[in-house]
Amino acid sequence: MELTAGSIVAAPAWGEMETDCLAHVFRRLSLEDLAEAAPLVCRGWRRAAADPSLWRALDLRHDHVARFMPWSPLAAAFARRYGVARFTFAGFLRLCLARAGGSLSHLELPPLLSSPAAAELELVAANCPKLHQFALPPLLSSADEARLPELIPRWRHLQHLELESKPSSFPAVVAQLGTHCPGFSGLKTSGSIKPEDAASMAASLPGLRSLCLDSSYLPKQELLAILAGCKHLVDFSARNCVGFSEKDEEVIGRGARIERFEIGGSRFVDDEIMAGDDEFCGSSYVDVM
Amino acid sequence: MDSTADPKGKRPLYQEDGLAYARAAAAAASATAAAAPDEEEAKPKPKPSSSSEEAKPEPEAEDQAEMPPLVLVAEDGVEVSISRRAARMSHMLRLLMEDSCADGPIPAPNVHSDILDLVVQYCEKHGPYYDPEASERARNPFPPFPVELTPTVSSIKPVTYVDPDPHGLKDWDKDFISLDNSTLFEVILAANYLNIEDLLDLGTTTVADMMRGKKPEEIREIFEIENDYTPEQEAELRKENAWAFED
Repeated sequence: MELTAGSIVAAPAWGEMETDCLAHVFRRLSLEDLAEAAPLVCRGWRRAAADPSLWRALDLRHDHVARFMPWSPLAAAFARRYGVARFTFAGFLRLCLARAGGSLSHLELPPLLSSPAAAELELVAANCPKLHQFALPPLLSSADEARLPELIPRWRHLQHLELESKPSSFPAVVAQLGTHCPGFSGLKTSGSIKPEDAASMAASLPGLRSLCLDSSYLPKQELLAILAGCKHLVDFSARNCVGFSEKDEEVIGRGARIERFEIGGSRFVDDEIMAGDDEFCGSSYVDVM
Repeated sequence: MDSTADPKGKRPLYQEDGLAYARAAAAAASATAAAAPDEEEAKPKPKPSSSSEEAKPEPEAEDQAEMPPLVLVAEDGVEVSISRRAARMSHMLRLLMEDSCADGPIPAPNVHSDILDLVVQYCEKHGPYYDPEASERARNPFPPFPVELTPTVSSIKPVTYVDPDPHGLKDWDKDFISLDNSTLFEVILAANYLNIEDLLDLGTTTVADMMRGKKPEEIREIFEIENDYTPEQEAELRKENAWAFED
């Protein structure tokens, strides 16, 4: 066409481009485009859009209110194109997990799970044996919190776990991680860190590399116990916590050997709570046992 | 000359180390001006800047340029040479160089020489600044939490953050990739074949940008794709997407 005669094919067959090239393109699309537009263009694109590699890393936390509510463009697209009368996040999750075909490695769930979230948790447990990185929203029901430790063994390859708000079953979860997840290296959570929480981390996760407890209620004693037990930390973050001071010499000393040690904004007692500033997870640390 | 004696690929930034590079850069720059194709007009073959002599090294002791450039053979038999430093950007060529299998002509059977010229141009431009590790990190969409401090690695950029682009590569890339669809198509396939991730990223991002937010009908129009769905297949597609929502 453009170049010298006898050179390249006149009309490039975008419809027949190799799946892995198309997958590269589709990787940059939003979920909406990927779910609704790409598969409808032609059969080759439908195949490429369903390629498991595109569904392997799902960050569903981003912008979840706009995306997964019944009035969202995604829901409207599913209604229009596929005749889905009742779009739910659980249904969409089920679809994504099926598309990933067991190869799902990264999953971050938004705070849209049903309550109880048993069904969604079971789905993830059943369909994601290769899960490396998992982020869970606060689990609203105590049944779900109790169930979580029992599910940990299904994710033997888990490396990073983020529990947006620390469940009451935390010590059990940690114990299970220590037993069943040999490659486990990174943990993030936020809440009121009690002695048993710290003890379980120190005992069960001695090889932990990365720990984030930002915005928690973290008494100095617990902090030191964790640092003493988890001797291989390279990355520790406990910013904006209450329970120890960022200027505490002993804490700073213990943290000196850790490559990245962040405790900015942490204070022994929270003065701001008096000013009615409750955006700093006031409820989770005032609720002392 | 400045011989930093660093092993290949370890230094993120190469010093301008000599006549050979300067000449190649000058030739590449003039070729860019000549070769940035407009959408409509029939283009003469882009100046074969990299397929002639200037990429060959002068007989000076330099860590990179003392090795002769690689020779790629396009599907139409034309040979295109690429400096070793630029060739690092292709994973396939990097492996060949590491295994010392890169001394003879390397076939690129599915790639026309015009496309190969474009690809080589890209690599010569980016070659000196190529850092394989930085590319890898930028590609990883889920950096380990807590979020890394260096903004380039973070998946979420604050609105006010401005990406530093000290070498003006972004603008060059934008010009480079404004190609007609068929050329773009071929460039993507070539980048895929030669495993040049950065170029593949550039090409596929461009295509994704063209597709974003468009309806299937519009996409078909842009890319001249035929709708090969039969009504039965459409029904199948519907089922394929709707099953998950049925209780």
